[in-house]
Amino acid sequence: MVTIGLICDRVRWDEKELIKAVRKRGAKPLIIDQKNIFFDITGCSDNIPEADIYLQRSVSTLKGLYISKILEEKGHTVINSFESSRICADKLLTTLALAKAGIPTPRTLVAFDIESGLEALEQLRYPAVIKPVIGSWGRFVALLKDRQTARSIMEERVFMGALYQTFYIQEYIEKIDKKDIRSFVVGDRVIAAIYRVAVKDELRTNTALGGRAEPCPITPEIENLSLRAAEAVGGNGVYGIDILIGDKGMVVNEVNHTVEFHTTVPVTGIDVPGLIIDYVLERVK
Amino acid sequence: MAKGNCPECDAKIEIEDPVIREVTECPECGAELEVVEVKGDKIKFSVVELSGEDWGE
Repeated sequence: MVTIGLICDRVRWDEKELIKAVRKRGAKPLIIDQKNIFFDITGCSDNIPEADIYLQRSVSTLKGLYISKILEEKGHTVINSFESSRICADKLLTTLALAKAGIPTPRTLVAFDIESGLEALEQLRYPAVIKPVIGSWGRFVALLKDRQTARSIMEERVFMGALYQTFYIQEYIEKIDKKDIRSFVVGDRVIAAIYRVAVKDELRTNTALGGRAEPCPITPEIENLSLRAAEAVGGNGVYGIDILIGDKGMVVNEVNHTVEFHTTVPVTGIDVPGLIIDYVLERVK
Repeated sequence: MAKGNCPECDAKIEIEDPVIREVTECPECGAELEVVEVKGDKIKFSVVELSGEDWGE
């Protein structure tokens, strides 16, 4: 019997559905709680439960990345790979990968100092968006409407710690109908897509912030952009692609490496957890 | 169906096939809870402390 190790720090609805999908396919789910394991990174006296393959589901970015790297160094297969997760976890690295692959993405400037950040903003023009390079659910994503606001926000970021002192500044793309698209890539297929609609007066569409989901047809353009974006960050895995639709067309905004699907399943009726587990089992063969 | 009580408001909460570290929301007070112990059909919950960094939908 194939054993799939699910590395978790929280068992949400998403993880429970993955566990059910593993059982339904006659495989054994092994829930690996981050809190209960340790790794011997210079030897082999770990207490990691043995599995044929591991699926990374940690909510904590850094812990998840380290666990994936250690498991890979010890010869295990982890979905997604450490390298692709490292790129996805960092917006700056994601943008570099997308730009290198020629995938349309919002114009982005990076600065490490307030004055050069303000200079970059003069080039980009206001309004613009500032984001932490690591972080999700739309937290600390802010709209910079003018130079004064930009200076204040960057001054605050300096006091928030090293991570926030990298100023990742993007052109502001006005979303048509306040919508963006989240597509799901599993292996070499786009299995589902949803529109995420921002709540009134909210810039961000994240469902964690009350954004609403609606079914979205997988058009050839969405399929093409999604597959290319997944490939650009390493491919061979499970990805959530965020696509913005502006007046110049579609651009890939972000690529997520550990996707949540609790709003996508009821809205689309697509068995996202089942398709993820089918892919994981294929990788064991 | 296993049962337990919310540590914040004492509301009764039922979960099918509970899993350690499973998160749920108290239907009465809205506290985010985590399953920390399952013994037979009895569940013990604690209030979740949110991770400092993560990603999401």
